[in-house]
Amino acid sequence: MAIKDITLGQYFPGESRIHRLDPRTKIIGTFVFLISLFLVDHFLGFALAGLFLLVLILVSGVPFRFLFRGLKPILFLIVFTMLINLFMTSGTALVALGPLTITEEGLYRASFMALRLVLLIFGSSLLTLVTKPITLTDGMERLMSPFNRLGLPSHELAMMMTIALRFIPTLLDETDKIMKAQTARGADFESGNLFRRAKGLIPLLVPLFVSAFRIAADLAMAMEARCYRGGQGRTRMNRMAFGKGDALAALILALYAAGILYLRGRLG
Amino acid sequence: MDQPIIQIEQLDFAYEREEGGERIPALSGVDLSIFEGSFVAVIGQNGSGKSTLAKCLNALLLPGGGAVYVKGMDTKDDASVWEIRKTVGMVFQNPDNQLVSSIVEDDVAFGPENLGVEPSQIRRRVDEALQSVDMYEHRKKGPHLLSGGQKQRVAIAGVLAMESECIVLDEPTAMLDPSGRKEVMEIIHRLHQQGKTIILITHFMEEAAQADRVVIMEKGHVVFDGTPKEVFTAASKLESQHLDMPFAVQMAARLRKRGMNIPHDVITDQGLVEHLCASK
Amino acid sequence: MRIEVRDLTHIYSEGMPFETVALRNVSFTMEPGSFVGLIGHTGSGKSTLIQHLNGLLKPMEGKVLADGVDVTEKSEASRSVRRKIGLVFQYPEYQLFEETVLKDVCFGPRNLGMSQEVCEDRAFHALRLVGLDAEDVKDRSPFGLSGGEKRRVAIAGVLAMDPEVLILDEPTAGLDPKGHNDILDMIQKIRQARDLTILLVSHNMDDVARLADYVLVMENGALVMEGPPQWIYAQEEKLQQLGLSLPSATALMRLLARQGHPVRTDILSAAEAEEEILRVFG
Repeated sequence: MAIKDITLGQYFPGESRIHRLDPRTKIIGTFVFLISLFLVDHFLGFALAGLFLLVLILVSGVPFRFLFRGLKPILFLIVFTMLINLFMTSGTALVALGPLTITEEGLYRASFMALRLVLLIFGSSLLTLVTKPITLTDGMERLMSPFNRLGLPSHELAMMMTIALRFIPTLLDETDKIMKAQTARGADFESGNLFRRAKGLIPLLVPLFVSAFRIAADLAMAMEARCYRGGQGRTRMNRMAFGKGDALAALILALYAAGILYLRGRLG
Repeated sequence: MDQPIIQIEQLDFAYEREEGGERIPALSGVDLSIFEGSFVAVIGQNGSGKSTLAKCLNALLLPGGGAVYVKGMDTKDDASVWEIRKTVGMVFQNPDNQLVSSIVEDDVAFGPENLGVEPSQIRRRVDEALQSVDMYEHRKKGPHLLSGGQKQRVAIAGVLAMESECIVLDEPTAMLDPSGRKEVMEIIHRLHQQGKTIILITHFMEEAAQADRVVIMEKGHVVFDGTPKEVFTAASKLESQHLDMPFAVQMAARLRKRGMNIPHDVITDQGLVEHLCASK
Repeated sequence: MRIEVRDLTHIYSEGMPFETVALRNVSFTMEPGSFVGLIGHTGSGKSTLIQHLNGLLKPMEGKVLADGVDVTEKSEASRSVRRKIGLVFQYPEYQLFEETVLKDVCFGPRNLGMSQEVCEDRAFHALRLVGLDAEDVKDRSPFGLSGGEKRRVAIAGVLAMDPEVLILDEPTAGLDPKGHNDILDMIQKIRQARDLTILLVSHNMDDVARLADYVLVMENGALVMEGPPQWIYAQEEKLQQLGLSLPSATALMRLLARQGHPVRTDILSAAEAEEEILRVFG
């Protein structure tokens, strides 16, 4: 029961202006934001990006601690990147620690890279915090549909994502049950070296795969029974429509992008 | 006499084992007519062919021999498949594995969406379907927060939203606890009263006893077709089929063996009590 | 083995918005060799409770003692008692994974460190105990068996560990009437063959009435009633309040009694009901 309670994609419920935006606006917005971070070539650019993000967070009502949670898994990468840039950049030396030297350029680069990574994480985390997973997949399907003509199976991809989201809690539950059942038979999933532990996963993975296949077979049959035949001729109950909020958001986004591009190349 | 909504003629079906191509017969020469608005229970042991029969009714499985006609349409006819599946909706045994979406109302909308129904119509159908199964307040929830009985009700709503005239339920209560079973049976009765044709596949005689008509299957054949009362009168013959009889029927048989005169139409606890009280 | 549960309390997702109290101050004792039935609604805490009995879950408060040893301790004594507590989950056939039935049944004993010979010996005994033809099934893939056979193999897998306590969580779930009766007969056979303490979690009152000599009733995480089946099933109103039903025979006798007839109502089986009805109405 405990594993099942994990809210997927860490959606933080709310009714803010941000929450209520069309998912397509939010997806495109996040995309633009992430790209903008790579167009920044001076700390002031990051200041603008950070300010933009701060405003979004405040309007959305999502507590800051949720954003920091997204950093946890990447913390190692950030520190590692910083250290590499700190010690490996050649230039004017600041401090020498034995064989390694910290240079002025190194310090600059390390902080620059770290800041970019942090803002990248915050930006993408915010998207999943203010949009329900299923709304995200719907939005992505709509955005991809113009590419159908070029052979992109947007409906099928979206259906795959929907079903994956639907069954992740179920599979997590199954995993929990199987682990408990095998542990009750003396299985040990924790001790031993890497190889031992990998082998020890077989009593978990085989039944899990069998379950997954069984679920898939049942689901396929149920979908066929309900007249599923792919994306052809399908309608949707939830219509997605851009509203005034989206127009305003698009404007603000455009202004932000313009700001970033303006700052680029003018400083330093 | 109306035309039956489903007509099954000399239906044969065999499963093919991949290795060795061995064919395992599941249905042999089944003849059955299902009339609109009726409530038919199909009962039998595991391996009797009852689930196979269910899947032949909506073209999930195609006959190896014989034919199945739904409102006059042949299930072997490719062009009619979607109309057939629209007419005959199906609810499956595993409550979890038939729900497609992570939100209840989206799942109920899945069927109508596939049929290309106009969006505002879908909304109306979904709301009505959820109300008929008493799940409207749960419409925004995720399936993993629901009990087995609630999930089955959502699955039933999914079929109702397609406006199917006939609902086939393939062992819908097999994986539910007693309260879930009760919930589902209540909904089934309600739908029957509203005019839907109900085909209930089950291995619980107490459930079959609630239908108008009981069809007993064994090894792919229909061995009995009649009312619940007729079934229990032939109880001793059916013991060999390892089918459980409602408790009252078992008690009546026991008492008869000990010399008491209990009429064969006593099939419920209440009926038995009334008879015993009257005899005093 | 005697199992003692003292003031067991367990809370899920403590400190988070969906914190649920799954067990509150549950206390009871299972005497060695007894057959205990555990009944209650879905969600009453039965699954959570049984997972504490062999140390799979750790209590927030309270203890579980097996022959006086705390099952959650990290000691050799605790490990030793835990090995003797066998737990069969619902739909146990979903845990099968090996290439052959024999290998799967041997999984448990192997984990206990037994030699291949001893494992196979135990596996054979266990397969026979669950009513399977060991010679016939041992080299077959567990995935090629019927549903009922798979379930028996899974149960054999736990029996092969030679437990002194056997906990069965709804062993007849999803089975048809014949399968249901077969499993029940199997449980009785196991009880006679090996002197085990058995805990049966079930929704079926007829099964509990037939097999148990002591019954525990749970509601909302608490143990609300306990006693021999005759006594438990005599509490019709309390059971009704809890939304639980009576064994079929008991329900019938109560109906008769309510009509004013002087019938005994502490009846649990059809045979007893038969005698009593003949006595009063014959």
